[in-house]
Amino acid sequence: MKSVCTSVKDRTLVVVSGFVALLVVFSCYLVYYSASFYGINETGDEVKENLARTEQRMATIEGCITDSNDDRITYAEKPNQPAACMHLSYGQLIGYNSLTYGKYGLRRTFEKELFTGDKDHHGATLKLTTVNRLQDAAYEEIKGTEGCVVILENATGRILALATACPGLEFDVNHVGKTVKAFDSSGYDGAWIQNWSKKLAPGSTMKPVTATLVYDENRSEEVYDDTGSEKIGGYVFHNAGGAVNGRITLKKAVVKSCNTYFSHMADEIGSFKLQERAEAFYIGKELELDFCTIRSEHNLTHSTTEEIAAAGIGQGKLLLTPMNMALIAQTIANGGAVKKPYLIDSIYTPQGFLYQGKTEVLGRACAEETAAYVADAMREAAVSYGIDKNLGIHAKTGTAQVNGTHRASFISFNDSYTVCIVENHTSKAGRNLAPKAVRLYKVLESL
Amino acid sequence: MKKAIQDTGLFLVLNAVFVVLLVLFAMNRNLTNEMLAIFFPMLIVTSGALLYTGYYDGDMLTAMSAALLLEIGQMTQVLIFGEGGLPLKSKVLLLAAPLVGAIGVWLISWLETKDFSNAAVGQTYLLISTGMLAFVLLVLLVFGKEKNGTKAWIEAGGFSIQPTEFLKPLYVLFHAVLWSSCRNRQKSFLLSAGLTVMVAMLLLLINELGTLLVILLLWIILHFIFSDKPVYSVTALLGTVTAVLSGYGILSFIHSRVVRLSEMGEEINGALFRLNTIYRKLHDRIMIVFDEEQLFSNADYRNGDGYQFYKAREMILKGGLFGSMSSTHVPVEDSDYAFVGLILRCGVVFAIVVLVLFFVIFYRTVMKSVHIDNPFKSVMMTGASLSLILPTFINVMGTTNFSFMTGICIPFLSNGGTSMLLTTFYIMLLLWGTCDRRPDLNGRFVRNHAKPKIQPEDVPFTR
Repeated sequence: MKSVCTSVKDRTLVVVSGFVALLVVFSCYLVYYSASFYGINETGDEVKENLARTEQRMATIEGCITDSNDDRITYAEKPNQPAACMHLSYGQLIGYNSLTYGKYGLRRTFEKELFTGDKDHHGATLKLTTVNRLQDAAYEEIKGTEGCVVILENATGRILALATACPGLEFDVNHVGKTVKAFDSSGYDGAWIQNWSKKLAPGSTMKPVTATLVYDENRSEEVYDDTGSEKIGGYVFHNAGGAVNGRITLKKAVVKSCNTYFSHMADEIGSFKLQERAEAFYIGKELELDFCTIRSEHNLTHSTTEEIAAAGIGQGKLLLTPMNMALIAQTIANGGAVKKPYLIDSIYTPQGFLYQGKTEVLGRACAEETAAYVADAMREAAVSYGIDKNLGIHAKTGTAQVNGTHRASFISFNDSYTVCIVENHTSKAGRNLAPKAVRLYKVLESL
Repeated sequence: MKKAIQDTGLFLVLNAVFVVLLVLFAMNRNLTNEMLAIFFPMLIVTSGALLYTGYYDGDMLTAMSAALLLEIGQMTQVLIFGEGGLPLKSKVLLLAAPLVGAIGVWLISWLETKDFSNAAVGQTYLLISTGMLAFVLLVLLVFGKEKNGTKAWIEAGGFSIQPTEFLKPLYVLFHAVLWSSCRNRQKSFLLSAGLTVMVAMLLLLINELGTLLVILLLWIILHFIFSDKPVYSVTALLGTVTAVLSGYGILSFIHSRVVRLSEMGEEINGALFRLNTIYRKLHDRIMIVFDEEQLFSNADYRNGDGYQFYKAREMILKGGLFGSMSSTHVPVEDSDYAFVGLILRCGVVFAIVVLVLFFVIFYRTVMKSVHIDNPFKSVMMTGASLSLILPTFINVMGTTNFSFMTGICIPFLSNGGTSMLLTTFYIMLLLWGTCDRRPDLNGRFVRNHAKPKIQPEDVPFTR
């Protein structure tokens, strides 16, 4: 050890010098980083501007959020006091805006409006297109599951309910600390994802889109002999439950949700037209809404024949959000016109409107006649799911199997409304969601 | 004794001025009572430590710096917790810490008397220190409670302790015994490398990357100082760098595979999911250092994963050079982000003074350790000194985005119970080590530095 320590002092001095250098460099950096005047560093300037906004926010009473009937969803009485939420069914949608726990949901997106005070230090009121009673009912249908409900008004695109839930967790925005801790420690991967923008394998809810294309290709009456399997490329497609449907045309294929028929048609029609039609339904394209951007995945470029056929039946690389699925149903209901869903009815202060939402037609996905044909097929499908024909509901289900669990989806519409329900990681099939949808249509009728 | 009383008196006079300034500062923030309640018992403790150090010719500058840091640390906590005051558990720990530290120092002074050059004694204590290290890590693996993705905590009876904090002194103890007992350099290097790999692997398993970083830096620096052959220090450095880069490469590969599987719609579970989480955590923390501007311009990142970094940035700007009265908060401000909390309230200039105090302790004690002829004590002192300064720099550089964030507490300032106990132990060990004369276990006075046997060519250190 003696020889080891011969030059210990020199080496120690080297280490000490290293720390001196580090201390000097770090101190200079700290002074630069904390520069409290503008123009020293750009990030600092931006942060300072945000700080000024935070100061203003702390002197402001958070603006109210209301539903379309002006019933309050959140309400605050004092500055720097979080607004109380009266309907926890809106939890994931409205989120929170906390100095300690950060920002989330609408209270993050519309922070500027909700927290910028007028002369009375009141933030603006955010009026949503939703209806509280319907929202609460929608949330009750999926509570305790990894589920989502999207309800749209066909004629306008107004979002009447937008509920999302997590298994075993309640998004209680009145107790943010508790909620954040519970979500963070739940170990549940999707806890912080609002399910309406969660990309999932859609399964057969994609078939109506493929069906519009088959119809436009004048192949709706073409008879296909379903033997229960269809080999495309190196992959054999089967029907759910091993069903064999025999000789069928397009309408029966929709009703029976025939995988072999749609994979065969998708393969024959080809990737270019399939992708073009999907994009007309805003699948694989960014859908910028007034409160978030919806992104789905549908890119058939460089795809194999198996992948193209799989996309035709809602499998393979195709990933859709529940909002996309709702839009498919709404487009069919509107005779092929794609109406942009919107959630913000208006933002206003006592001095006037800051923003007013309006109906916007994004384009036409298919001809009216095509949509009517597919709607008719979906009407028959709804009856096959056990829905009373007199209710006038058109529907299509989807069940994707991933790692032993199901992703069940149910898209439907009647003359006035579109209802889409999705449950992920469930043992249910899509058709098991039909009773939930029927209950929601009944609430819609009673509004 | 007279000099000790003079030094302590001088410090207390200076300290009284400091405390008056602090109280004036606290009055502006309505924290006077809380501040006084904390400082009164603390002054008694620090006065005792100063008297002890002065009486045994210890390094008064180290003692004063430590006393000031202790006060500043508690002041920071009072400011962060505000009028509600410190949690009761923290107050209890504050009073219990000197007792635990004293027991630790007594154990080290007992070990110092052992003849490690005797092969049997050396091997016995090497086995004991290795066993204790392995025990701590295995207990964590089995009973550890996961917090923020790291399994570094054990909870019992309403208290939670962080056993990973004990790894640093145990790791240093192993090397102190090793270099005091093993004369075969190659063998001692291999033993040290073997232990480091074992500790590193187990720390990786519990995802405690902050402590792993401290252990690796301790390994490199201790080898650099105490290995007379450059081949060992160079091997330690290159080996660590290679292992770190390879590990990151493997994680990066796993991440790309996970991305591919996700694109194919497959669910990621188990080990793949866990390793991918580690990669993403590491990647984000590294990227924020290099691409702060772009990441902060993204509102999703700013309000999501990057929220803490962004809030810390805000607080530093808000604090500016001389502090502010703002009530901005960042999550875990009382522990990981205590330094940022201090900058917000007292400014960058004061924060740099705090860093200088840390450096004074490091410099004074590490230079004293050079002149100690007992290799066991010399390594223990250097290791303890490094165990204070390394987490300090890692924490302050991470929370201010100078380097990547690790989740390590800053000694004195952070409200970590285990960290507070260990910090007190380190300081008491360092003060004990700097004492030129001190009572041995039989109550007789011995001198540490009477004859510098380590470096005959150097002038002996005298006060």
